[in-house]
Amino acid sequence: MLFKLVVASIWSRRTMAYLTCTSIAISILVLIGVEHLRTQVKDNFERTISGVDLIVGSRTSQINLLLYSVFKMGNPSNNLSWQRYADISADKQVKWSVPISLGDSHQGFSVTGTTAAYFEHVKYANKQALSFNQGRAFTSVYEVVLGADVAAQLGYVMGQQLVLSHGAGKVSFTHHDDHPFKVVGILQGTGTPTDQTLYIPLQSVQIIHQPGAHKHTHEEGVQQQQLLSTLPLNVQSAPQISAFLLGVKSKLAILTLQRNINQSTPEALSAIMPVLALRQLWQIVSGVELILKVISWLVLCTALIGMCTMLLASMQERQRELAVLRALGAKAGIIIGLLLFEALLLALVGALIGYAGITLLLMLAQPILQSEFALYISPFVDIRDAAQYILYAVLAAILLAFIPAYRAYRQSLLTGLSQH
Amino acid sequence: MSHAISLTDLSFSWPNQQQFSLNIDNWQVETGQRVFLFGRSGQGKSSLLNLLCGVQSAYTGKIEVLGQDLALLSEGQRDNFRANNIGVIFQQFNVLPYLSAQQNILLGAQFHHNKHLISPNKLTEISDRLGLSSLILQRKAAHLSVGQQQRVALARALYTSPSLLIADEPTSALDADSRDNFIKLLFDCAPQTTIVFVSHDMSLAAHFDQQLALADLASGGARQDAV
Repeated sequence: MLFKLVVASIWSRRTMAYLTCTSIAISILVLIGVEHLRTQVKDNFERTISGVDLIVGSRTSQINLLLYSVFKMGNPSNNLSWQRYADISADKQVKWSVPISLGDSHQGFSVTGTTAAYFEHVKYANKQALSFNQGRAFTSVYEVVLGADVAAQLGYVMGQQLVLSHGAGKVSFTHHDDHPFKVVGILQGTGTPTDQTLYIPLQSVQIIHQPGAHKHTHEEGVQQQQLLSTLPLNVQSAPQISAFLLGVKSKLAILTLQRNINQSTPEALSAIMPVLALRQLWQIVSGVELILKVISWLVLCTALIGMCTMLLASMQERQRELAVLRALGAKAGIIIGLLLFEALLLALVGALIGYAGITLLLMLAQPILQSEFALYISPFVDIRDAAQYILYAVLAAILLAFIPAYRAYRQSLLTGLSQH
Repeated sequence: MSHAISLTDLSFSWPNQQQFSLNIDNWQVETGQRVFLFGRSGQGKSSLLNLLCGVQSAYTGKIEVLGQDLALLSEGQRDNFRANNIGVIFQQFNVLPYLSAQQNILLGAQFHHNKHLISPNKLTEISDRLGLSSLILQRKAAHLSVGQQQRVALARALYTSPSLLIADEPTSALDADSRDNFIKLLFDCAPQTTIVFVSHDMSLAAHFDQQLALADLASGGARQDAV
């Protein structure tokens, strides 16, 4: 009965209740949203690369190198020569190395030129190897391997011919129309930028961009599917590369190798450890994270204070209601309880709406985040995290509601049953 | 005959209004009596009401209601005592506007110590007597006329069959016909109940067993200094 009473009482002041619930919902949405995005983005970055000991590129900051080589964000400041790649790869500490060439795109998806060794050595998440959902790695010049999302979103199937364009971006003006690539492999989804990437042989990047390459293929159109093994990569034939990834034989050698590369001349290079570079990145963004966190808590505070104000304002008109309840024998404690319960209901309903709202919002935003930023954000907030924030909000609401509740209690003791 | 109300050497003033005080040397109401208390606002009407209902405890002297010395009860016990034994009707604003008439009546038993013992027929019985049709019962209290609201308030006050009924000008918002009708219903529905009826409308006094003025009751008059 008292539950019904509170609900009916709130319902009779529903405009104020709607507004209060909405502001609490928004604050919970922001709070849960910020926290969810923060952890998901971190998660995303951390699972993207694994098993790589060093990333080497031309001299730049370690974060820049990490961002463009692994996350396809930004552009390489400079390319590096094949010679330097060959030299460093020859170091006896180096177990494996994979060159990458960036800069081409297809329908907004980035194209990476590399060697077949890429699929073998570069891992993701917890040292999971890339695996083929269908097909195999490329063996001929005009063959392409697709990331899972590329195939799914563009509707490409095995054996399909596609044309790559120069430069990144959805709209590209110079199409390499003369070099159709054949899909020979589609990778298993990984939830990393790999899914958003097309992989082609390094030799193909070279051929695409070689002056006169067009003419060459026109003349020998039939011979397009030239085997890679007949096109060895060397200083003359290989293109400049954007960066390369390498693994060492012994972890102890990483630091020495890194120092050697960083100090090498004449071509200034940077070698970074992905894990440390990521850690540095988090350090930089931690300030922003903190600010976002503080702001979202402040938003919650504002919403709850708004609720408190609403309850206080309603006390005037509810004086009579409380006098009736007191006359019926309601203890002063019940008056307090009713107000606290009202706060609990408002906060709980508001918080649940906020939780539903953020889930819906993430569902809507997910495809955009995925295609624009290669971020895989789950729309489903961890239920324990969400429950935790909802609990905080409800507890804070109840605590704050003690202010109007105590006032109501004092008032009902002072004025007793008189209604004025 | 035992006393429903017995006040001895009572002295009371509101905690934050020292200039007003209510003093009653001696007043007894016998069980089953219907008392008409003539009083205007400012004469200690609401003070007396609060004291009898056990809402105010900052008094000196002795208050016995239905044989119970209120000073011996804790605050919570006084609330329970009120829920179980006393029915209250206000001048107006008796009903919670957002509940139906029926819910308002049932609310009367909400804080009763043994609400499950109240007969399920009690609601129909009492609303039949008070002329509250099932149509009215289902209606939201806010949509009822003042007369209907006061009858709902009466039904609620009597729903738990209290031994003492305190009515604070329950008819002041009604027209003359409804006023007499209300008093008649009140007596019909509560034949054995002790009733203290406060009003400034002397024309109603004739209905009651005992009539007295609050000003006379409060020995030397309710003192009103400054105001």
